[in-house]
Amino acid sequence: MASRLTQQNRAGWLMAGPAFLLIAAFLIVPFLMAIGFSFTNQRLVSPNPTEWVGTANYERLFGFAILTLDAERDGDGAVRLKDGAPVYPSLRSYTRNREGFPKYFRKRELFSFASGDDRRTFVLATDVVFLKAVRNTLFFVMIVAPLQAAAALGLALLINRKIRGINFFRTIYFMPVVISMVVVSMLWRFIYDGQNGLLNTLLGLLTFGWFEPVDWLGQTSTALPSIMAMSIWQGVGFHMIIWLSGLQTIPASLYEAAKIEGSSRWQTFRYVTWPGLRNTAILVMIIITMQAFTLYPQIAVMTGGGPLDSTQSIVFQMVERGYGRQDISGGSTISVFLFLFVLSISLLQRWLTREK
Amino acid sequence: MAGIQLSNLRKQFGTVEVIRGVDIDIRDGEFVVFVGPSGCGKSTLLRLIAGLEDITSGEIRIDGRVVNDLEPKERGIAMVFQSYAIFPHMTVRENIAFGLTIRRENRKAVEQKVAEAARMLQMENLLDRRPSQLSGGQRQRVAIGRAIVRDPSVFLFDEPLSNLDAALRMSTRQEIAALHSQLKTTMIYVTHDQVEAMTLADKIVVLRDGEVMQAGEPMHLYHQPANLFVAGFLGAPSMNFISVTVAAVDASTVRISAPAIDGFAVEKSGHGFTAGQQATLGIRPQQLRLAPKGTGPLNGRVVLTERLGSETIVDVRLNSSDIIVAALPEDTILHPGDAVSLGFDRAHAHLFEETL
Ligand SMILES: Nc1ncnc2c1ncn2[C@@H]1O[C@H](COP(=O)(O)OP(=O)(O)OP(=O)(O)O)[C@@H](O)[C@H]1O
Ligand SMILES: [Mg+2]
Repeated sequence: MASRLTQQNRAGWLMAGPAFLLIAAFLIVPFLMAIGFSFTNQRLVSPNPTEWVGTANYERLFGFAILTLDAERDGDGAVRLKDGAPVYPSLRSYTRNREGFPKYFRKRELFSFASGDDRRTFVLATDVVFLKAVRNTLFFVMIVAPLQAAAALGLALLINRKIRGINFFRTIYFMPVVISMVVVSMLWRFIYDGQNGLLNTLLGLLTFGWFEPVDWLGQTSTALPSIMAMSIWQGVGFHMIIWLSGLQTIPASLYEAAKIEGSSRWQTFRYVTWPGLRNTAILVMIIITMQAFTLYPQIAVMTGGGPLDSTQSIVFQMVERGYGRQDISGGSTISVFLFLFVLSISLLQRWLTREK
Repeated sequence: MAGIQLSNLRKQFGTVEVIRGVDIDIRDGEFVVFVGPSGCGKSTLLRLIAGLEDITSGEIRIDGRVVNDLEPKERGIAMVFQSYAIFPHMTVRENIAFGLTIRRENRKAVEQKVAEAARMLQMENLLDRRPSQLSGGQRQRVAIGRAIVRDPSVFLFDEPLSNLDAALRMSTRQEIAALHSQLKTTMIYVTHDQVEAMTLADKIVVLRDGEVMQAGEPMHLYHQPANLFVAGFLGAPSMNFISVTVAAVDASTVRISAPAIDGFAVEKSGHGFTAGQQATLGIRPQQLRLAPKGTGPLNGRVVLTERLGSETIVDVRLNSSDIIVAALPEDTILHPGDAVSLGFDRAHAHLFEETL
């Protein structure tokens, strides 16, 4: 009996072995290595030995300070103005003065706000680019996740019917998903082109030439929103399929019962469809959120993080540091941060959507 | 309350005609049961009445009003589905109140109606449960409760008991009968179980391949089946059929002969027979009794006996090699191989013009 059991166990391990080895080699080991590297000054290639640096990498990522300054005044006490705005002392005098202001040293302005009459508070950070990447990524997730989920649900509702040729539409909507994001990004670079891109041409035609061409990816105000729009379009088909599978688990008799009770379209959605999609909704939200947090190929292909860091993303920074600047420890630190961040958001989502 | 008239009702799915010219007249307050083998169109007919399917041609009147083009909710019907079709995420109370809730009826009135339905179905203590915490029979009662609070003029049941076990089926059947005698509302009930049909119905409609084979009171159909199909469908075990030749016809009787049996005369019962024609003799197993050896008219050997307690079912191979089934008194002891003679009351034999 026992030998039979162990034999079966052995066979089981043998069969699971290759998959386990691959997962270990390409997932578990790199993951543990990244955690290790994030506490060192490891570089991709370097003649110097690697040193243990403790939490220095994390401190550099998140180091920030707050500096409140009064506006400069003339000899007679009046606020000095330039173009109608008060003039403040140069930040450099604080951030380049290691002896005088060690806590501001080498920090840069992240943002600032007026904190009283003729007074301004500056938030300074050691790693401004990274924090911008975090902010952009969060913004991206907050816009893309709900819009993409809603659009995908809308499409799923539209194509969840038994009419002739519906498979044609299902295929069309799903098509962008099977094309690599890199290819899609290349194509959309042409669509968004500032000179004679498809979008500008189209808008020009629709408004009889009244529309002024916009360099969609070339200005800070439109670059990230443009990438968002494209990302939503590319991924919507995938989530539509998940919604569709959820929709098809709802028994037709429930809809018929609702119909007999005289339920309107909206009431049917509210009382039958949506409650039936509860688990699907949780799944879709978690998948979209995790996907959106790993925003990378669009940025790499379309903007490279620019203009003026307006499209920096966490993963783009991770790759940029680890391989672009050969700073493996810096990249690893970001990846550990991303892991913990996405993990806590997923846990939060699970908790918020738990069965009551 | 309402009577229902179906006139020359037809339904096609694509090119397949599933309901082929059905005429049925249902009186106000009647309990009508549609029976027939699987796939004969019972559910389709019910769904046409409910308005869940569009009719291809013909007319449906409920309470004198043509409802061909009315929405289900405008037809004054309530339907109970085989699969219950109760909403899984709502409590029993919310399920029963569903139709009233979406019509935004007064809260007090809703509560009162729900309480009354719950009392009728003896499920006051279940009102706050979810469907997943209910047994099959309780779920079906929730569905019936949802139908009751609508106060419909017609109840439609599509095989409501087929997912229940035998004991529960019997008690729920009795509850439905009690419900009908209490509400006195028109009910249409679909089943393929002839026991349900016989016990519940004021009127049975026997369907086959989308056509009405016979309609009438249960005992009328049992005693005077219009054709072989109805004769064979009602009653358990099924009626025995024997091919016979008409030997002679006089004013009130038909004399028949067949290889297996000694010639004898049966009542003519309205059919026009001519001498020499082929016909089918039908005898219910319950009409057969043991006769002294060799006196016939049916002689053969026992091949199988089944003692059911209340009666003993005996399969007898006649000398012509036809098998005939007899339901004999419970204490009859016979063994395979025994030679037996079976006799029957000529008045209870049926002669059909159709041939096997
Ligand atoms: N939506 C549909 N499309 C095409 N054919 C259908 C459709 N619904 C039913 N049919 C066909 O119509 C016929 C009658 O079906 P129906 O469901 O009315 O049978 P039924 O008598 O209720 O059978 P059962 O006792 O098995 O429930 C069947 O041959 C079925 O295949
Ligand atoms: Mg059916």
